[in-house]
Amino acid sequence: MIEPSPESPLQPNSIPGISPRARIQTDKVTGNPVLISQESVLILNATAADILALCDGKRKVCEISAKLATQYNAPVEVISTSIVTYLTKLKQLNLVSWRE
Amino acid sequence: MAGCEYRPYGLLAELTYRCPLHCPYCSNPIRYPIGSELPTEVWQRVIAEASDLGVLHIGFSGGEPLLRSDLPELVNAARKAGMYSNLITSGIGITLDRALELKTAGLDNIQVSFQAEEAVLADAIAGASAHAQKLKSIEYIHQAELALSLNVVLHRGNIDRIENIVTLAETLKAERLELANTQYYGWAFKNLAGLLPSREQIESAGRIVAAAQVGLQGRMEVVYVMPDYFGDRPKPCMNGWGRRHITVNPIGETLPCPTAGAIKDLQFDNVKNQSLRWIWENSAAFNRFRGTAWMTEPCRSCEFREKDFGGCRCQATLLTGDSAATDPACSLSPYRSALEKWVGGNPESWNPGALEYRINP
Repeated sequence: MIEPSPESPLQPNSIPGISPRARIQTDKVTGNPVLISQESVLILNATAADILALCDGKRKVCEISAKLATQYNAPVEVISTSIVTYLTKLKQLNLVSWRE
Repeated sequence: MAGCEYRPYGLLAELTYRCPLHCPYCSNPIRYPIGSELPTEVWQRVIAEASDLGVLHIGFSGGEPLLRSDLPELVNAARKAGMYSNLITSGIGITLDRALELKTAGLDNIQVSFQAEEAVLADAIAGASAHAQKLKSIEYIHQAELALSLNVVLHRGNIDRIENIVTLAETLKAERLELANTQYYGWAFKNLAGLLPSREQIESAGRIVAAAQVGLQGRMEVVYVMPDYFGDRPKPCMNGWGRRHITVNPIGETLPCPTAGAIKDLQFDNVKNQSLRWIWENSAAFNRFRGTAWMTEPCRSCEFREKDFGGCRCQATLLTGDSAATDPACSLSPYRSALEKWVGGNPESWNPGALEYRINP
């Protein structure tokens, strides 16, 4: 029987990237950015697109948070919480992963 | 046809009906349509036209699409058109060079079929010595850094192995595992009596898959397709006829679903003669079951008619002879008894020798 295995949670020093099975594409019909994978299309709002654009497999979560906090003129704690929540959700769908 | 109500998101490009496997559940037609395979330049045009219609996903399928030597060119056309491409393959014919060539061309994902978790049973189901070659192909796929999915069609002969099958997919480092109960069209309908599992087998498999979906969350997506013979409501087949999907078959006939050839009163327009947009908007076959006006009772006045779209037209045809009838997978269908004789009894023991294996055109 398959046991649930604890995955390491997203940390400030984690380096997230989009899963090799997914990529961002512009929807020609609507102009919206979408995160596309096999049999799935997630429409990205502006914030989600900004977050994923910075998940390049090089930047740390804390660096992404700082950059977007400046861009949005918002407290870094608030931005950081949103990023962790969003990326954790995408991780459950196996659409992003991260390394420490 | 206005707005997004009718917008194709997916194109299934069936490049050839030729295949090294002979699976007795193949959804290919039993009587193949006659004509020559589409040339490269027509496929390239179709891919560009599909993208302009809004298609985001393209599946290269067959038969075995690797038998087409122009596959990398077609993958590249899809990439240039901004589509996500998936190669649906037996895995037979993949070399390291071929995998690297497809990766360079822009292939996003490769989906390899397995028939079981071990060679003796798997090869008996495939009607070919294939399992060992498939395992080798997975090594090349990983070396080329292509994203990997596995799919296994489930039936009486392998559904009890489902836990071992999940373990195989983990071992092979698949990103996604699709466990799809046989859909009974084409060759599978011919072999229904020999393939349909018992209700106990279905329920046991469902429990194991549910546990795997929790245990593997975040590591491998596990998709389970229920057999609709055992449910109460029909599936919203193709998310509605002529609404989200286009299939182009090897000779260029353009269908609202891959098995629509089972419906004998439909005529399919051909991309050799018409643009994909013309077919999408004007083809009588695509318009035949759009909306709700074509429906008969009990669908016509049913509160679910715009949720499940009356179920599957091919299944209605095969089981009732009437392509506009309610899908007998619905408990409200007057033809429901056509299913009961299959799902109510105790199936005989698994006997692959009694099945009729798929032949090539």
